[in-house]
Amino acid sequence: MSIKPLLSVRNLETQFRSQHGFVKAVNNISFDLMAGETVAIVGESGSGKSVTSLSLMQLINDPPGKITGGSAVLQSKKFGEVDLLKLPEKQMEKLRGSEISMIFQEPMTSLNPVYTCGRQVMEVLQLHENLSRKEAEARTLALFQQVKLPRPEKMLKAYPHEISGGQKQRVMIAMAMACEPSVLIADEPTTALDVTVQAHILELLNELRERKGTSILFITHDLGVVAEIADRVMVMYKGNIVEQGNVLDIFTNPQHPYTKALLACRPKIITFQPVLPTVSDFMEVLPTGEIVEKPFVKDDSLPGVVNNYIDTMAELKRKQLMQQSTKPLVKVDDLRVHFPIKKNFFGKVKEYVRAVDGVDFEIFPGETVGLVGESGCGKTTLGRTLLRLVEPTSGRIIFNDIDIAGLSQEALRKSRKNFQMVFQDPYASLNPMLTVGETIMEPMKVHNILKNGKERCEKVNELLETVGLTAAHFDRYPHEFSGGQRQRISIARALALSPKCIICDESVSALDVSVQAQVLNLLNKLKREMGITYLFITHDLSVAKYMSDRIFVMNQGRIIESGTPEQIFNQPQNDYTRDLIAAIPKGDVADIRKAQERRKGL
Amino acid sequence: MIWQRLKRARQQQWTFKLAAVYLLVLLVCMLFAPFLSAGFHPNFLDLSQTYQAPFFFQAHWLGTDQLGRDVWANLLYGCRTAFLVAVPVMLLALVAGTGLGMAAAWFGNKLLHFRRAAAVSLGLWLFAVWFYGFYRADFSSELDQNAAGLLRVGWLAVLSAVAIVLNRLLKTLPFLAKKVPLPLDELLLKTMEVLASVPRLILVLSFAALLSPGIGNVVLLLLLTYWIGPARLARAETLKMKQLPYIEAAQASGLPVWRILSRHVLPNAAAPLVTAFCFGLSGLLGLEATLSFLGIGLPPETPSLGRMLAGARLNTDAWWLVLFPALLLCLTILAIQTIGQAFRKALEVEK
Amino acid sequence: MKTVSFLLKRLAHGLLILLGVVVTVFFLFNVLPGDPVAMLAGQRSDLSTREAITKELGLDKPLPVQLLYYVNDISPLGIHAADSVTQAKYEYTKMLGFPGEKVLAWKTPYLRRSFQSNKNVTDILVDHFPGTLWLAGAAMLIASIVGILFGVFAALKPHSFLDHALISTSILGISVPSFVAAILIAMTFGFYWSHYTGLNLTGQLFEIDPFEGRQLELKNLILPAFALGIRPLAIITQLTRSSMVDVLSQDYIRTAKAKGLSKRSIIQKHALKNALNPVITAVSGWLASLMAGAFFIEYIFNWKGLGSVTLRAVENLDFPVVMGATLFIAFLFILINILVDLLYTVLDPRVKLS
Repeated sequence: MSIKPLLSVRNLETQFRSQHGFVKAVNNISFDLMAGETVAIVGESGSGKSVTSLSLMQLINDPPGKITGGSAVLQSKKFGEVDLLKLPEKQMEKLRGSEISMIFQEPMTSLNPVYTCGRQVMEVLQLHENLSRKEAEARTLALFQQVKLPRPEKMLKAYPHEISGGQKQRVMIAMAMACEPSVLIADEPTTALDVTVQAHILELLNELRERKGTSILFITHDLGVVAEIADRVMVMYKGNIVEQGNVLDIFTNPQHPYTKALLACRPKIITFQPVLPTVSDFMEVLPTGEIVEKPFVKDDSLPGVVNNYIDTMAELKRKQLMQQSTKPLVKVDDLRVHFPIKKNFFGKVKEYVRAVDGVDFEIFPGETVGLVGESGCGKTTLGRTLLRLVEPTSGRIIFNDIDIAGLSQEALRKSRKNFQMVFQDPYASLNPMLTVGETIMEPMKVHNILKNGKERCEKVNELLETVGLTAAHFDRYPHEFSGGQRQRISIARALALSPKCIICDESVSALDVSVQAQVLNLLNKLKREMGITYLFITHDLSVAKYMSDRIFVMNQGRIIESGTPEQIFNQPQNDYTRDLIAAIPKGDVADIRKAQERRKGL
Repeated sequence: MIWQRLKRARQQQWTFKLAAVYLLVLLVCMLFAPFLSAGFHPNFLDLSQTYQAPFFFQAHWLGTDQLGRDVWANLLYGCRTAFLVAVPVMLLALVAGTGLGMAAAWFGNKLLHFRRAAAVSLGLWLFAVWFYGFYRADFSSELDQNAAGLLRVGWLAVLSAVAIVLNRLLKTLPFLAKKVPLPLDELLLKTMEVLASVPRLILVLSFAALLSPGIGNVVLLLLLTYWIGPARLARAETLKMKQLPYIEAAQASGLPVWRILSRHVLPNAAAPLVTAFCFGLSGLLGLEATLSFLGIGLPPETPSLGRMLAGARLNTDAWWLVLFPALLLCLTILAIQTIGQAFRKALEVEK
Repeated sequence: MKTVSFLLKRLAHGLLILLGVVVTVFFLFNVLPGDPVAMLAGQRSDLSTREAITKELGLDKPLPVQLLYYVNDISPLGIHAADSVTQAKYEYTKMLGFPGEKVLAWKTPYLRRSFQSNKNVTDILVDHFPGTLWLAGAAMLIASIVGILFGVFAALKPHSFLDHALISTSILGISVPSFVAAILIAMTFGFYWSHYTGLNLTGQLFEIDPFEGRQLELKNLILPAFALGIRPLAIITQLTRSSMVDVLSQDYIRTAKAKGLSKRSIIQKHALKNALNPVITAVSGWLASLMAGAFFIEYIFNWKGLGSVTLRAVENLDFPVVMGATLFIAFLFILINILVDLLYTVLDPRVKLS
């Protein structure tokens, strides 16, 4: 090899001190980054992908973290060939922000709230390039234009809280690109953003890379995003790189079972799978830490085919039944929720946020309705209003011929057993002070379901087993469980009252893809076995398509389009829906080829 | 869960252990003060032995004050007094403040409703009770105490009955029968702001100076200003928690309000409230000493650490009258604060 | 425009709270037993004097009317009789005449006269306020500077020896009641060791020198200010530390590091400004309560100020002075709170004027 890689990482090892001694977050990994190349690191939470990037920047907090071995040789413009891991702090400061810079996941918190955006970008320029204030300001303005910030002059003087998340991320990119670094590390830069914004940011990164010849180390959990942006991929699992190679190779011909599982367990837009495969279908981790591949039972094996057939039949029957029974379970009539935001001197409200602005729909028993939309479209408010956790401003919510919106507090309380909710954040949706058993039992006690404590205990154990936990978990506290398990507990709590309808508010958004697949499978199993109706609120269109019988697309407080998933995806009527669908990174082979050609063309 | 946290705090911090042991020893000493005070009553005046310096092998082994009162006995009984004032005040303040704060945060300004008629009758009733009970209370002054008491109870009953009947009558009027929302949160906030603006010390001092001295009066007086702290804290915690999904889930499960507040909100707010309790308690111990130091509020014959400290002002050479009570007070407050801090740390670890 | 509207709203709210305080204080002091007439006139008074006083204070009127009189007395803008006796009493400036010999007039708030000395309470307060202000200001200055330094040092190396030492000391500082600290400091530095320190047990800011007249004696301020400052110092240390530790773990600090800023400029430019916001708010909020806390310090060091005059008034059951001092401090408290709110909007751009 005649060309030296720009950045060459060898045997990097980073450890964290915990209560049980040292844990290797990154275990002996090696990779190269060539000039002008984009390499993606893919992995789920805890795989060590972020730690890798922070180690390269020497940004690991010590304690508890410590880089314990390896080298990362950078061909630096200032210092020649240097090992980033052993560079003294003074020189490292000269490299950070000028030759190697970074964008972070949370644009909301990554900018200092007390300084203007302009000042924060100017700071880098003044620091590394010794520019005067005036020059720095002019350069910043140019940068803001390059990252396509609207009204760049105004943005210079704007504080971070005054602009949107996507705009903040653009400011972060401007800051990172200010000194035209040779390496840009992007740590999940689009995870916190909406799909349409994500598409724009990815486009921007691609463009900047082409124009400035910057190498990008792109860290993400989303294989779809990888397909859009990367030349090469590394898959990380528990601190190790289990596979690396060309994007096309990884997508078309994955070798490692974990890669195969990752590719398989995300709901696809195109194909239909009755049950999502999970990581445990592909591999088994031995107690020694070794990974053993399992032969994956394809659906065309005999039991698979039979099951599939039965499922499909059941599905058809159910749909028929649904259409026969003309009476909807819930009927929402011109529902509005307005929040006051501005009051005049005498306290009279002058301005409202119309979170939900005249919504009508019906949900039939036994169906799953997907409610999709981007952040701030009012979907969460709508879900919470159906439960009257938020008071509606006007409109009716008819259930069983009764208007829920007009019930008194006490009647409402009694009626609440018909509707339950599963929330997004698995860490905040369980009371840390109550055991799992108490949590699930409490609603039954209050509504006097079953005769006594003993029967309820049995019911709780039964529910725990239904959601894939065991009776042994009864006396444990929530903090002992993982995110996916907590979500299962939340589902068990919702089931305790045998509700007619469960509202899932982004219930799988905070989970890793493999865990997400498990929870989705569980929800579908419950629907088949218990005939529960779901209102499935999500920002993720592929999940919505996988789960739903019908989809509502929501924008600015209104439902702008509704129909079966096929209708919505194949013949979207509304422009907004079309944009939304176009923005999803799909990760198809054809798309990857297209993306790569587009990059070459730039 | 709280006990688990405390247990963990105990395992981790030796300061916590030390503080807990110290407080236990102190508690035993206070309980058995009559047996431990070496036969001296704290108010026993030994005028032949004033300003005795402490010396181990004598009857007054920690010395005596300006009137020959035994320092050791006064320390024991003084501590008792301090806790007798501070603990009930802080407990009551915690209960009242937490209840009010949680209720205000939960119900806000719109959830509770009342009939205008009820407000009118209640207002009239309160006015009548205040007018006849306090303002023109002299009408019964010629009677003896029992009869006066009976008369008062009778009056109260009559007034209440009138108010209830009035309420029934007023309800029939359409304007007064209308239900309007009760701005509970607004009311509480305004009340707290007014009370917090009045300098607590002057209020306590002037009232303590004017009311007839006694522990009961001092407790009531302190309670008036001390419920604000816990109320603020409980309100803030409840507001924060109201946003959390597990509280919403409890609501969505149809749990009654009192159950949500007692089983879900209160336990999760307990740690900061206990911390606040410890801090308030130590402040009150200091305040009691301050009041007695100035000779205000508690009757002069009540043994107190502050009373002893005041003795040192008359004779600056009597260092033992400063050192021992100050040391005892500081150590006790330090121990309580340490336990409060341990709670806070346990809370931080949880995050 | 926005600022003006905010200020107006805030002032209106403050005025409302002040009115609430006046009503509360008035009623609290009026449900108390005691005969103000006897106190004012002294024991050897005759019936006519008593009647005159009763009439002047409006004590023969019902309580709500008395309250109105009181509010009229303390309000800078009030309605008074147009005769010269009343004018001399209130020292008002006439603004508008009314029929019936009444005038709308502008005046210094009239807090009535001391039972004890028969001096105008407003004059007493104005006379004694500077002493307290000096004391509280000096204490707060010491506490803020040293406390913020301590807090930052403790936060830079959390769980180090320095951190633990500073935090334990600050717990001790919070634990000691201010009067105990005052006695200990006064006795140690002003009495037992006054040989070495050259400081006195008691003293005033202005000493009357037989030859040179009034002289500023700043060294007399040292001990009381130190005694008063211990508690705020300890609290500021803890507050700064926890706020700083919190800020240092924020994402934007990581961003600043990734920019290539040195540790020093990260702390100076990015961390301090964020970390000090809550501290500054707390500090200015305490200034008023610090004045109340100065009471015992003044009492023990025999310092001429609001505290000593109020405590003496409490001991003598001198109602008007106690009430006046209470209202005065409440007024300061409300005023400082408004200023703090304004300050906060300047310090933190996220806080909106609303």
